[in-house]
Amino acid sequence: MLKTDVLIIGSEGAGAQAAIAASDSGAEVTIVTKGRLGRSGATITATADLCADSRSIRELLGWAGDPQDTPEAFFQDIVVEGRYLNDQRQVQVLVEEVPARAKELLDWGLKVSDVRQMPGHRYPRSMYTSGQEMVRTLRRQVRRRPIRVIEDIVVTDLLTADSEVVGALGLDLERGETTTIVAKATILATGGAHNLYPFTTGPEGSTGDGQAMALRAGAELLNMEMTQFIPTALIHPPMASGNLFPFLLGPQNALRVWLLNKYGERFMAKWDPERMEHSTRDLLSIGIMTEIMEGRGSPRGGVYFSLAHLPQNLVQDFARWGAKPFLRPNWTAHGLDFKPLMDRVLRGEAIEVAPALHFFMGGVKVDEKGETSLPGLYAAGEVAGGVHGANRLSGNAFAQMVVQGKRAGQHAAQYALRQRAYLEPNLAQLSSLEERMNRPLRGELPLTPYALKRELQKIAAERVGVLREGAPLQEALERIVAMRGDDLLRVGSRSRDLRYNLEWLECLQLENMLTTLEAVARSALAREESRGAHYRRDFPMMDNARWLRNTVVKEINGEIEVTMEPVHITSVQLPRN
Amino acid sequence: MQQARKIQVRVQRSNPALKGEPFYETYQVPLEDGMSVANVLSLINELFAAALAYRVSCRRGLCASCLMKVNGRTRLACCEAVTGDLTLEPAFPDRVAKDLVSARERQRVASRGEGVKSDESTLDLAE
Repeated sequence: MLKTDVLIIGSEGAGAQAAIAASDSGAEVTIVTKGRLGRSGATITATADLCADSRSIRELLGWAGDPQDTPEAFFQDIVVEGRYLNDQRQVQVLVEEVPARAKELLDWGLKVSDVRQMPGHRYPRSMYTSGQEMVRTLRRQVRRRPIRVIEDIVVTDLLTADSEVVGALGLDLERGETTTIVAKATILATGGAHNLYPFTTGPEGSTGDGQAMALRAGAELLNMEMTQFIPTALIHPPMASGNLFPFLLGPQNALRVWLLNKYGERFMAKWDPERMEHSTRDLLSIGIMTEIMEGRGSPRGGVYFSLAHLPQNLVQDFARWGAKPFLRPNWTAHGLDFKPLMDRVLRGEAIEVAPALHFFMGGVKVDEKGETSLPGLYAAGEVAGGVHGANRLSGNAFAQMVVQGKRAGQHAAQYALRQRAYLEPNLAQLSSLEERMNRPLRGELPLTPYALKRELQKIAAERVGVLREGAPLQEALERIVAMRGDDLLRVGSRSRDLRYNLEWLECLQLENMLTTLEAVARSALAREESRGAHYRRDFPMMDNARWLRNTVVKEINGEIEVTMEPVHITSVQLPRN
Repeated sequence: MQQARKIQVRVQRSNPALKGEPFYETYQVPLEDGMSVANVLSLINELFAAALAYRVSCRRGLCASCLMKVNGRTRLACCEAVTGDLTLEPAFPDRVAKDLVSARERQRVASRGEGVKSDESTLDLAE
């Protein structure tokens, strides 16, 4: 049994930032990660901007910023984009503290290439860097401090005693053994639940672990229905599934792409006749999914993304000036070579694309200190909900990560240092959780996790994704509940090898994915309006009078229930209708 | 859809905790267009209950979790397109945890003020 002051689950953006802050506050810190430090999570995949108000960028950081901007204007833009659903306490903290966090990162060696103005921002606020740069910078700081990092630990549950979180139980992948960690404070920094959906920009390990564990421990989730999609991601070939390469080409900020259904119609005329494909992300996603679900899509379940109307040399020239620094002149982006694909595009072929899950605005309910409703439990980064409301501005994922990471780290450390003694885990609870962890290895279990995962993802994309509606959501919930209550008990690992057993891991992740998807579906069903990233075909309008409230999910007696709670406001009044 | 052609995938396996020498296991895998080595490994585990151990995270060549030797050359499995038979071996044969997974870093936590040193000594979780 390992004992530590502050336990941080997740080693990347928010987790690393929290560890640094907690360590600097005098606490003894342990990070556990299901992958490897600096090599797991979504931070490294970001195409990547960090936002602060433009005046601060100029005054504090010495970059070309607009002195007309203010933290208040930034606050307003965030709340407008979030359709007023944002937790304004968290927004206040973000706009006030992100300039200092940015300065710290620059002092730590973060390289920023330039400052740009992105959609939804009234001023240039986006400092462009890369996910790799951010990860390298933070990892360096973690390594310089006496922070214990344990890799290959899959935390399966939080440990509680009298509703306080006292630590965590995990599977040591390498040894194939359970690991118990007792902590005076625990921080969830586990990221979004990307793999709920079949096409995602997110990494393999993002399977809703933090969200599900929080629910099981008795914490609450906020606005889980607010799931952000990138409208045009690759659905083929398998090695590029969910890749946002087409989104780098257009239609926003770049080439004037045409989106076609199987008839060759530019279907965006139905949704935004003026801007057509240059419309907003949410309208694009809705337009694309409607074609797909109504049978007018492409053979692999997407729509056609075409550049055939543009001269070849214009398209070729784009590689030299466009999508910097992510796209290189030879059509490579990150580690993937898109030249073969672009050769076909230049011969007149269209690319099959569909919306890919990109970011979760919703997550574990926290206050502006990163505290959840359970004493001893904190959350920071994408796993935490509320700051972005119903939709997120570009650059604010990194802003959330670095601001919340530091805050949660500081507050968790202070909390831990005030505790005189470690709280003992409840042995009966420990035993029951260990048994559940080992269930996939017991007996002759007839089901494997792979087909169930694909079924879950299909349900998510078709019924709990871009397009939502009452009856399909109800049907989805019935199936999800059946999968959780029945199929899950019959799913197991065929190999009994304990060490590095990926099939066992898939079983454990499947449980978290089902729990988290149920939270998303129940929240989507509860919100009978459309707002930001949440679109209901049966309630297509926003309804501030009735629905400008948060959905809150909690597990009560084993059932996931949704209640509505007021939005926290500080300086911006909420619209009434 | 076309009948998928089969490729031969030879994987070096080992389970150092159980001692014994590394050995090769061969799988006949149906190959689809545009599969990466990572996709093939996932398929092997699903089709054959092979319990192959390997790492994948970012899927776009950034994190290097999936570094391994593909037909003798060190490559990122997630970005390496598969066009024919494969031989897969661990990137760092002297520090294998299992199959294609390199051992995690052992971090000895120094007392405050000294910083952390990375080393290969066993991390005792009871410390």
